[in-house]
Amino acid sequence: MKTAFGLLAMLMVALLLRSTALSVLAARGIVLDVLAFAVVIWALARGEAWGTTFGFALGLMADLDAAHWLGRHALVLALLGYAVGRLSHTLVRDSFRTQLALLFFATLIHETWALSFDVGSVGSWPWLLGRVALAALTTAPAGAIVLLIAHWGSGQSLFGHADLPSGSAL
Amino acid sequence: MGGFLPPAERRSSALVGVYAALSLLLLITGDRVPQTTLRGIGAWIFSPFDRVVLVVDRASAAWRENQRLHQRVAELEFDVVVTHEGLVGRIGESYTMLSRVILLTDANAPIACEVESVGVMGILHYVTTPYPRLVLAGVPLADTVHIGQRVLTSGLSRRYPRSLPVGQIVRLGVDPSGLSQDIEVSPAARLSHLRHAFVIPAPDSLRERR
Repeated sequence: MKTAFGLLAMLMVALLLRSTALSVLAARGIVLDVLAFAVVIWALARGEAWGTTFGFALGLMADLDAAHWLGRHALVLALLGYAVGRLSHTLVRDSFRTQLALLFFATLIHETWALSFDVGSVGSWPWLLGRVALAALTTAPAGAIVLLIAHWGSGQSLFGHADLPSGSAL
Repeated sequence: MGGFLPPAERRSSALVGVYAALSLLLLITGDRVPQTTLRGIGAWIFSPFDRVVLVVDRASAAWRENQRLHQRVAELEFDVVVTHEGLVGRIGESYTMLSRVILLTDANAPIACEVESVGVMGILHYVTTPYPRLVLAGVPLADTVHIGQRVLTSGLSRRYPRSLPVGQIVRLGVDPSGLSQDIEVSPAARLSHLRHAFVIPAPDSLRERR
């Protein structure tokens, strides 16, 4: 129950941020992919089942907000939630570099997939690549810094360590 | 692949399979869903968000407007301050967030005025003897004015635009020198009951001096 409430709260916060402050920043050329960020965080914290569910729900909401290409965000975010959730069992989730890398690749994949629907001709691919690179390069450090600040602020581990027993083979 | 995985991971694999299939189904069939229905669902879900966004947007717009107003007030040295009733004074000093107004009751700030409709010119200034009052001085004895006539800023004023209401004649007399009239004026703006005032641009000659 607590997780479900947390999921709803996180959904609302992510969607609100996306439609307020981040849309203003995006209009000025600074793209921060809060959808990918939220899915990575949730999947790191809760594992693949909740990560997938969260990704699908968040993606579906984002699709409904756009009112076209229903399933576009839902598919890629559900898959990202699953992948990150699976990886969370074997990664040091509180590591800054791990979070940086996960956020970078998650943003790269999400933006590439989502923007590829908007690109018509081959001539627009440079624009797409530029935007995707910009989104990944801004979201990853910004997200990792936010997590770092949250870690320092809370004074404890945000995600805990990987649940792989010490010494066991991968 | 399910048989090789522990039960929890089999469940999550099945879950992602369901979500992926559902998403693909939506991607394929989504455009066949009537757009109005789709938008209706979206609007229903997002209306609380829209309301929050609207409130935040309005609040920030009001704040920005307020900042702009303060900024503008700070740039308004020499501009004229009025109420809906009449002249209050002019801005003498400007700071970042406030301005100091020289009131028409300032003894060192005379105003070139004229009596409405008859065009009799004079200088309005504040005197404290024999009691505090506004006096329209320099009006020859030969000029005819009446109690109740309105006094306006005149075209001779370099600091104020012409025809702003300043006050009303309440008493007529002769100046102690015996050379001109002593016309007492009651201010149009109730200076002891000020709540809001407006700032209007000073004449162009003054604005160019900034």
